[in-house]
Amino acid sequence: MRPDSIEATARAAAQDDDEAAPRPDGEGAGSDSSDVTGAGPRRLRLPVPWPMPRQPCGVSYTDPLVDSANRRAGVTQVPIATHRYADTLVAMPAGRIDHASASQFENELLPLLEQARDGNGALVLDFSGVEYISSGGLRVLMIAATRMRSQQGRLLVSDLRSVVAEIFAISRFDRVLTVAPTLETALGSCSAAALAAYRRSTATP
Amino acid sequence: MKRVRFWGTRGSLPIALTADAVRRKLLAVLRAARGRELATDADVERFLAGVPFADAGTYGGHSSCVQLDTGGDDFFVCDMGSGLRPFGQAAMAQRAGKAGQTFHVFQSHLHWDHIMGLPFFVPAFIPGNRVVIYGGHEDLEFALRRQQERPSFPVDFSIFGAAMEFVRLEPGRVYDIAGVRISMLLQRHAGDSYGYRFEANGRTVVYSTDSEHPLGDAAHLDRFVDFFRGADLVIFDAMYSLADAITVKADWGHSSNVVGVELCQRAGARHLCLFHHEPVFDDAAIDAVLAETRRLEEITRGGSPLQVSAAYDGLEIPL
Repeated sequence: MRPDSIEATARAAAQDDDEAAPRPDGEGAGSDSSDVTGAGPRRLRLPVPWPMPRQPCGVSYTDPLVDSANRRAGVTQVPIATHRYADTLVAMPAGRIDHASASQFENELLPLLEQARDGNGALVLDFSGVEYISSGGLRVLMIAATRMRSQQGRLLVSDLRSVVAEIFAISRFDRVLTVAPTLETALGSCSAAALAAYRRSTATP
Repeated sequence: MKRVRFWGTRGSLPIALTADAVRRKLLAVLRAARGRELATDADVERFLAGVPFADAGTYGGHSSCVQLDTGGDDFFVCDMGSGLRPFGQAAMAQRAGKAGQTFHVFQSHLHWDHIMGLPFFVPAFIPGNRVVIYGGHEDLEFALRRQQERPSFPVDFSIFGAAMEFVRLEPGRVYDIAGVRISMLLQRHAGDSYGYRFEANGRTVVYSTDSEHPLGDAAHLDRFVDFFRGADLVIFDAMYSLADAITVKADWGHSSNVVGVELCQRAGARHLCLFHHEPVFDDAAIDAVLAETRRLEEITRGGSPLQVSAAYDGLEIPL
């Protein structure tokens, strides 16, 4: 189980979106149509990104009209919550990193590389909330990994969902990025202090 | 548009099966045959139909050459790689060697592996034939004449008996050539390359090889989605893995199976054909890429299924 503080941070990032989460029949999403056309001042709201519901089969596509409206409104499509375990920074993106959201994911992620300098130079991406990643999203990971290496740091990715793990394997990104099965494993390879902090945070009282 | 036939599917350089590779295939097939009842030819055919393509067949080694059967009398061909030679022989046989044939050839670009078949293209030696070569490059004619100059080749371009014509096309325009609606798109490749979209009789084929896709350029990707829109078949440069294409082989001018699936899914295309295979890949490696690509399509499918194939020399795809 994850520390409450992490979940709270992620929920805060998604706070605006909770009310308008569309129902499976699509009714919720339809209520924002006035925002899509730009007629209303309200921001377009997105489905709850945390925790992400798993799709029963495959993954769905984001409506390009909604994507476009979200970009105009500056809505975060792939919120990234962060948490520091001792000297190691952990970032937890959530949602679909597809062709429509990859650039926003890049804008959110790259500043975190600087923050990782404050610790041991490692950044762990906990991907348990990522349900899909496109080639554009993988390109962002490659940029991040390259920059981390140039600043003598490391980028690790952990907790891939099965679909995302398959995408990593098919694209061969599992060979060019450091992928850990769990956040605990990833933190253990970063520092003993980070691992200890993680275990303390997950220990049952 | 009735069908597409592949005469050359290999990227960069033609290759050939080695004796060792043939022996490995035989071993695999014979091992799979142990204990089977193969008394008749029909038994053998049935058995072979269940053997993996990498063991019972081969993807072939000719470089790029694809024939479009439009249903008309004229021949339509994309690129003149080494596959142009067997295509020329088949075309001669099909028309019983009669002159008066017209060949429309669409060049993606002028790199060696895409033009090397022309000096061996028998119909070009037949007076009365007409070979019309289309492309977007200013030096289209120069490149083809030069490859047959000494000391590179012993037979000069001027020996050709057919009428050799060159037509420069422009991206953004739509052409009607022998009843086929054709448009082209500038692609990212060293020295530029061009993709072609062919539409006839309610069917659409896109030929897009030697084309790199900068994944951070949304406008570029949108152009290709529009170009592929609703196509019945997209022949796509899938030479590298995605990781290779954007790391060690960035700017080498090629793409990946992953990007092929994504663009075709966004475009609502019906069939993706992986093309321009990496010459270092053996048949088993291409089989594996095909299986992985089909799996990727399955787990990322959002709408109608996208059929995925891997081109091989001799493959025919009906439209």
